[in-house]
Amino acid sequence: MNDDETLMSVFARGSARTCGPVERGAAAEAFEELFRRYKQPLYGFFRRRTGDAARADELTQECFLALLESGERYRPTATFRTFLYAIGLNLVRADRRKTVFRAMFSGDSKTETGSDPRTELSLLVRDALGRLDRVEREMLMLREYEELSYGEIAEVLQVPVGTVRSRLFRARAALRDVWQAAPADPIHVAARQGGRA
Amino acid sequence: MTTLAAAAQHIQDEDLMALVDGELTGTELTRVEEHLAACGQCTAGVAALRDTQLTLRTWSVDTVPQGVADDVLAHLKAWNSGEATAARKAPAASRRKWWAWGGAAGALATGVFATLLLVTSGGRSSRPIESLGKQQTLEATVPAGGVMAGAPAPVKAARAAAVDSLQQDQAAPAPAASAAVAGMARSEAMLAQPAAAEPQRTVRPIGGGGRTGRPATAELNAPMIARTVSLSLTVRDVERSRDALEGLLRGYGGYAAEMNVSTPEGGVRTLTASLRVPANNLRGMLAELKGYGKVEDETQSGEEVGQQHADLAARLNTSRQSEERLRGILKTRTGDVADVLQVEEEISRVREEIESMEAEQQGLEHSVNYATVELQMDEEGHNTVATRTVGSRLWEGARHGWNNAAEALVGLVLFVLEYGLAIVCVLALLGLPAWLLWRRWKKVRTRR
Ligand SMILES: [Zn+2]
Repeated sequence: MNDDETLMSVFARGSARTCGPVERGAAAEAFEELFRRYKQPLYGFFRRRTGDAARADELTQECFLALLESGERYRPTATFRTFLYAIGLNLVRADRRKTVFRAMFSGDSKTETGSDPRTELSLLVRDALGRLDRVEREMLMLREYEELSYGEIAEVLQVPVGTVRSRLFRARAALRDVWQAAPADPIHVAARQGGRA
Repeated sequence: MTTLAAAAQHIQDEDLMALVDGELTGTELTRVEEHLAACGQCTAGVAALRDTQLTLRTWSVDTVPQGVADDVLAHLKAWNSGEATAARKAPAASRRKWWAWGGAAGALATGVFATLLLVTSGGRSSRPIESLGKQQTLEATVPAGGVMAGAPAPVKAARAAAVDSLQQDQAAPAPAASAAVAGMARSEAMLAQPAAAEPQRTVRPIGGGGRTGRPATAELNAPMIARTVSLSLTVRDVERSRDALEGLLRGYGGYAAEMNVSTPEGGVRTLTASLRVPANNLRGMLAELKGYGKVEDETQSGEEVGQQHADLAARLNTSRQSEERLRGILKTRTGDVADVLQVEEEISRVREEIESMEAEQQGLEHSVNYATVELQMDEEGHNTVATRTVGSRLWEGARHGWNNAAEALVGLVLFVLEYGLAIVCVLALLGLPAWLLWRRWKKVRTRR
């Protein structure tokens, strides 16, 4: 079985302007396999970082199309996952800017309704993550949900590995503080969430 | 004395975290593991960290919609059959003549305008994915040389921007450590992986879930039914019912996973809540709850999750066995460091799998032990709209208008603050070709 980087290299080769139909076919196959592997993780990535499911759909699609158009720019120095999630982060940032802009015209400030109302714990989780420092939250999410290594997080966020380690530690400590300070009864969390929506 | 000596050797919290994250390797890993085997305090620290991790992973997401997949694959097909070549020839074509820049500027202006439209038309449902797809395939067939061939310019620009800012990333050499770890994770050659049902590491959706450590219980024989009741009531006073509800929940050992009270303008106040009640107390609580008002609607359902639970238990068993086997390999292995690292990597992967399955299992158990009540309470309708006077409605309207105006103004200021520089750049970009065009036109005229 091929690893992500090999697939991406095959795809990159087939993206060259001068390549023949055979290379191109192989590239399309490689891309399809990468898509199969990453559609769900990438959707989760956007779903946890945007307000509603429709945006997550669009961003997931955008991200793969960006990938489709940027085969020639991939350099094997980066792992495929860091390449993909770095594109994803850029799209999320751009989308957040747009959302601000949008909200002031439509007056629609509804943000998060949650992806799974059944699990009350996930409410606690989102609430607590929302209180973290922006960068630390991103690091923690990349670690826990995208399962990136410290080195990969460092690459995606353009910071030294040591910084990732120390700030991740701080984020987790902060998270525990939030949970310990929160009342044991989740009703308060739910009420806060409801009040914000 | 002895405690002091022991304390001095405790593993630092940050190293414990690195262990849980699978970031420790080689001698460092050995040192930490040896210490953990003997030290309850540090082991507890690791357990707490794992607990945090599990709690975080209870935030699951739904599966990616089929529409997204279909659309991307449709684009891929177009790409493969070479339809996208039009887009790729475009840059060469646009270099032809200086006046092409004028065209480009016009296109850009259209693009900027379209972006603004696109952005402002937002709200709930922005552009549907299917229609976007169609639009792009259509434009991809525009003959080469069209400056805007391919995706609509703003969309394309956004995508390119998302990739462009990566260029420095790639120029910078990958940190050696990360490359090593990443490479390790990926070279899956030497290990047989009985537990690796999924080749890649995905974030698996996890049900509810709670704390670690509890082994799979022997409740397997009893039917496992996750009960859900949805109940809709009309009550006198929502606020008062809500207070009573909180007391009721406490009394029955339940809690609200979610509770919202909404008061629409001139409408009927509504409370919606998702309650969790110990399954044994469901009947009693429902009976009391129905006493709050008039029952408009009630449905009860139960889902048998026993099979799911049993499947999980079986998978867990397999994973635990493979973890044990891997640990065995680690003990007997004397081979080279890279192999050892790979086994360790594999162990931590299996470990993660086990933990997420345990969480899922506990989520299932939780859904059986705690029934779900989806509750809706509407206040008895006083039709406020009809009774409002013209004066009060005018006043309301004026107030609204003022609020909207103020909001728009604040928004505009924010927008200028955030995009001001970009706007100036765009204007300069548009202005320059226009100016050139104008100068040339004047020159032509004076010559004539
Ligand atoms: Zn210790």
